[in-house]
Amino acid sequence: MNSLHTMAIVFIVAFLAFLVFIGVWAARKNARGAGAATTEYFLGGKSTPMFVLAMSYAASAVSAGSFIGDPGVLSTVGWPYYWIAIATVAGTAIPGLIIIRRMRLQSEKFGSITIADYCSQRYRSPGLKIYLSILMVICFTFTLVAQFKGAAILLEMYTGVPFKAGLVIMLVIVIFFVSSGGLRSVAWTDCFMGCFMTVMSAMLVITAISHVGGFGHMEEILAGDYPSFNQIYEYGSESEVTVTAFGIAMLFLYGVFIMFCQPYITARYIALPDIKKSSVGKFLIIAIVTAALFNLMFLVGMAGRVMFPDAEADYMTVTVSTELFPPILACIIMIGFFSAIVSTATSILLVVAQGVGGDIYGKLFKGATPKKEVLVTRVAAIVIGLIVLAFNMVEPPAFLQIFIYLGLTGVGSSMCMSLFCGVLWKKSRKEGAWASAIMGPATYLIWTQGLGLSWASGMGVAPIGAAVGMFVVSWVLNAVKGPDKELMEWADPYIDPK
Amino acid sequence: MPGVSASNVNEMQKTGKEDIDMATWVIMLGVEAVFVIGSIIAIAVWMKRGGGEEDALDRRLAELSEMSKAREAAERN
Repeated sequence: MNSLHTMAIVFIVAFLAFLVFIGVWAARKNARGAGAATTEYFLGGKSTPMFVLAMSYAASAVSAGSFIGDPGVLSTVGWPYYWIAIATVAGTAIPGLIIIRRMRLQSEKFGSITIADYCSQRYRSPGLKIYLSILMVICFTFTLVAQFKGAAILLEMYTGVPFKAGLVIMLVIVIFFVSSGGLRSVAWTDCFMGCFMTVMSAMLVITAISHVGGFGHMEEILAGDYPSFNQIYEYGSESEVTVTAFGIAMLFLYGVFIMFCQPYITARYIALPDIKKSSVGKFLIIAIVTAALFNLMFLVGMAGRVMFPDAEADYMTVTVSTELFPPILACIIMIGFFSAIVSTATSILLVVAQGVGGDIYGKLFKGATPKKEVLVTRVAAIVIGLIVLAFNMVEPPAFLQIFIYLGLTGVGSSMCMSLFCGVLWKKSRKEGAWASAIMGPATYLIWTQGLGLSWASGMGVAPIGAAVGMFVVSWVLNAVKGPDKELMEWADPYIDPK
Repeated sequence: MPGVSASNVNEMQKTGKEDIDMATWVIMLGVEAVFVIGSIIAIAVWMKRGGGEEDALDRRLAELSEMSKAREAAERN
């Protein structure tokens, strides 16, 4: 065991102890809260401060993907892949201006706790909630498998703890953390971790880029060794390369519709304490600036390829940190990596467990009380954790990032049109919501698996499929049967619920 | 540094930068900066239009919150 391993173990124990402490604190606060058990556990009693929610929003959007997987892909594709960083920042901001306030208002009227809840109540379709929840559980389990693979890789590289043992340690702590404190614990730790991640990513990016002699020198080296890395976009068919010119347009659709509609992100909108323009505006600005800073981490992948040509893609950022920094700084950076992974893993595990406890159990069993829903959610967190463990023990995913996007696109494309049209288009119909929820993920599967085309552009094609489903079905039914006036009245937040 | 000249047209066609005489990193980071700064300006303008004060939507949220609190209390009892 070398000095890095020893020091890393001390740091990681302190970090995990911090998570346990926050989990216990949040659990006590939830128990003393004035709201229903579900409101306290799922929405932090709707009293979490705006700054905390904004940092949590950005930190949970940035995951093993942004700090490990995305730099890994950039280290094999080059600049064309950087469009995803640009697209997600734009995607965080623009829809926020037109969606967040009205959605928050509607969700208060409907009594929605989750995004699946919102979609089903907006269209008065209990079945939609169950369908979306099941889809979410399946898709996000893939995403969680990749997140925990990232965590175990990190632990192994920094501390020397074997992959499988690391996996068990991380899962036990995360499951305890989520099942004890709910959104309150997740949001507060995300906020602390977000601050930490900002410092750490700045340190790593500046050092890596200066080590390769600045951007100009890095580009010169890449031009010689990896000429395709310096492209603005890739030439070739959709089945041959990752990001074509068409793919760039699709990545913007991905940012706006898929990233914005992720349940673990929309949970923050539903939990907003108020919807004053000044508050929502500050929330969005903090989220955009933080996300843009985090996304600079992508660049470490490319600088790493120049410095360490033989390093494996998913190990690139970790290799850069351990090779360029003395052990103590490498350990601080390690905590930043863990923060990125844990903040997303906890947020996703919470919404998946919530999908089982709040959405599926709460809907199917008439005797379900808020307390029982929270209990089932806690048990679900444990069961899902075990499934993730089994997946990683048998066959960990080969390429972290593709696995993550599979889950995100499946979920986002099933919910995006129900959310956007639910807020912006009164005449949208229940049948349209169903069509969009089915056609979104189906389009992605047909694009990537059926036609064998690029998974990156598929992430933008999926919401187009969902939009076709929503608009065609709603327009046709409105033309044949006339608009559903009862549903339109229900969707109007200014009309009191009967 | 990659750029455009008569002698390297073929190379440029391979790299998708036929018409651009600028380093890739300048273009990519420049575009990102435009999006980030543009988004912040758009949000600031949006905030200013509302004056940052409580408006109809915010007042309605307060009313609905009261209703849902009453509903939750009723459910607990």
